[in-house]
Amino acid sequence: MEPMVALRGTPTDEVLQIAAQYGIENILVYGGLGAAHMKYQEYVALRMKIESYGLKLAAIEGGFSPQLEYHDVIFGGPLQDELIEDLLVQVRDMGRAGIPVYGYNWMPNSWGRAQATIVRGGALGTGYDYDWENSRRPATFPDEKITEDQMWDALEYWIKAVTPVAEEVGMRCGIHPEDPPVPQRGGVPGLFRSFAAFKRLVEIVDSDYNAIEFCQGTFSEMPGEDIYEMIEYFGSRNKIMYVHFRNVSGQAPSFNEEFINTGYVNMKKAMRTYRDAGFRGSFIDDHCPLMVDDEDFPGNLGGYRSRLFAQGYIAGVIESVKKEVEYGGPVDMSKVVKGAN
Amino acid sequence: MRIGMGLNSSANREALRFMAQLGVQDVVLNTPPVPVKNGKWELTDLIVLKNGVEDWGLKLTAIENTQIDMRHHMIAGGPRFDEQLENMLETIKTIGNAGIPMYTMSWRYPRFYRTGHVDIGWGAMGTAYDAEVEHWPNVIDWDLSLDRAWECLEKWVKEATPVAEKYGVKLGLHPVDPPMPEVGGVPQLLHNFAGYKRLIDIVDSPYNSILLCQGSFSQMAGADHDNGESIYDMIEYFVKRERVLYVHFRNVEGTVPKFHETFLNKGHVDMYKAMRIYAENGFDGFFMDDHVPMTKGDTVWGHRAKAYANGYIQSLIETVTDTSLYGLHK
Repeated sequence: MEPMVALRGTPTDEVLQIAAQYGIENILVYGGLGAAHMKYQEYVALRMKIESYGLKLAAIEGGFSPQLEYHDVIFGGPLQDELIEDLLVQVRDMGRAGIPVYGYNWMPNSWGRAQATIVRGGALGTGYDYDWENSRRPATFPDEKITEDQMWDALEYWIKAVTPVAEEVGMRCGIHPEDPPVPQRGGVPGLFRSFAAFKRLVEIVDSDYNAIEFCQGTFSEMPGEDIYEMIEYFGSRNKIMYVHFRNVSGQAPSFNEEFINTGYVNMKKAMRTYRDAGFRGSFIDDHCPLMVDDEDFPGNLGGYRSRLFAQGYIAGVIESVKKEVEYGGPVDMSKVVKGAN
Repeated sequence: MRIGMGLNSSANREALRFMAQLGVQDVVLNTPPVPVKNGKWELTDLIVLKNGVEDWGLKLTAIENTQIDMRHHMIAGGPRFDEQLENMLETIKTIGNAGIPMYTMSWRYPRFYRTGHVDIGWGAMGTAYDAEVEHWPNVIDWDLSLDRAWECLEKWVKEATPVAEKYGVKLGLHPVDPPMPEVGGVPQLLHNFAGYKRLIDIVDSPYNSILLCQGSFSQMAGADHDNGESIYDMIEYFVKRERVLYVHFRNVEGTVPKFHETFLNKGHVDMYKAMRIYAENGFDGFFMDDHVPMTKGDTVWGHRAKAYANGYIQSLIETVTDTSLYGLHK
């Protein structure tokens, strides 16, 4: 278990140097399959640049599913085979370039939020409300009637096509949950909005290369689900490629994002659950609150300060849950007599 | 156990808002620019200072140091010893009257110093000390023996502790940093385990306590050896006796005569192990980052490195004690 940080665009020397200074050795870069995809040589160049700072290109993450060009892959349609063939060429390029992990999603409407929420000290966390969104979002495909069955059929077809290629080139592929995890947005079903949907996914093809981009934040937003149980279930089956380690208050249909240790999820307990399930992958901070006076970071939501706060927390909680094993667990505070200060 | 942060200035809005967003529970103002009037601080100035912190929903828990020229004769046995002692006792009363619960002070003259910086990885810089390149000239023009230096400290503790008890201000002394036996011609007292044991025995009261700068204690000769006087032994000894007010939680590589500061999770001290010792022995104070490394693109104050250190410390507190700093997840 190690910290990881996500970067957007071509990583600059400055941000790679900063990652190296803070000892965040695993780098995730947004990109991957899609209409504007990189070529084999470009992936090689990207990996070598990152390695020149003593870091690892640990994962590429991005979705082709929100791109209209891939409509027939997501929903089934006349161009399905042709498009998949091209996507598999891209998978081979990435795998051969030495990219070990690729996380993507199955969200034609991409991810979404509603109004922001003021969290600790005046910082802003993203907020979501199902009614708010649906009162504003028109139909995504006004002339189509889209069903969940149709989407599952297309997904299964894709998983059966991509998994053997991923195995062949040694690149694990995994899906990010629907964020927000709600039944539909703009008339498009949200397929991966529950524990059951992910159980179904990993059973399509039983392979480490058909896995999950475990956005713990989104899993925590799933209504009525037990986050620790899901971590244990998928962690112990080696279905988790890496983790988006962020926290939220509430679950769909209404929730907001938080600082890493002020949401409803007990992040220490979560980290112990990964450890005990045998998970050995990396953790990214993912979305961080927007702090007043912060400076923009070339990654996901949040600036340098809020991200480094989360990174410090992640480094500390990983170190602690590893080291506590030899002590037999945390200190039992019920047996400690408190001092006078 | 709680999370704190220090600020080397007065109630700076931007810094206080930064602390509020990070969830800081105890604010320490180090050498705030309170006007010195007739050698003392005055109540109205401290009320303004305190209100400036509370305006952000924060708590001003401690003042760390007054201006050095309010107390250098007192620390280094100069001719104005009695005058400065009186003025400092009055200032302690004023701090108590302002409702600030702790006053901590570095019992050292001259001030904190280093001799350079070292690259601690990919251009991040930590401060460094090397006795070989030490360059303090004599800073006092009077004679000071080690015995006289102890006499001054003992007099301060004996006079100040009852005042502090009466006015509700816990006093804590910070080590000399670097922890050398003599600096600038001034014999130093609080540079090792023995010096601190002697300090707390002068008056056995929680009002005669320690600002446990874990960095400075980790720099003490032998603190990195398993010799009964390691950093872990010292933490346990003083926490068990309830004599630690709060902790400067930072890490170093090496000890005197040569050391440098580094990231929290990189120095000779196992910070997880240290945190367990505080928890197991009933420590009920707070931890603050201190002297964070200089990293690429950061501000002079080190907002990014401070955010990282603060997050790291919060996770250690929460994981070691298996509780939430904010009362969540019950």
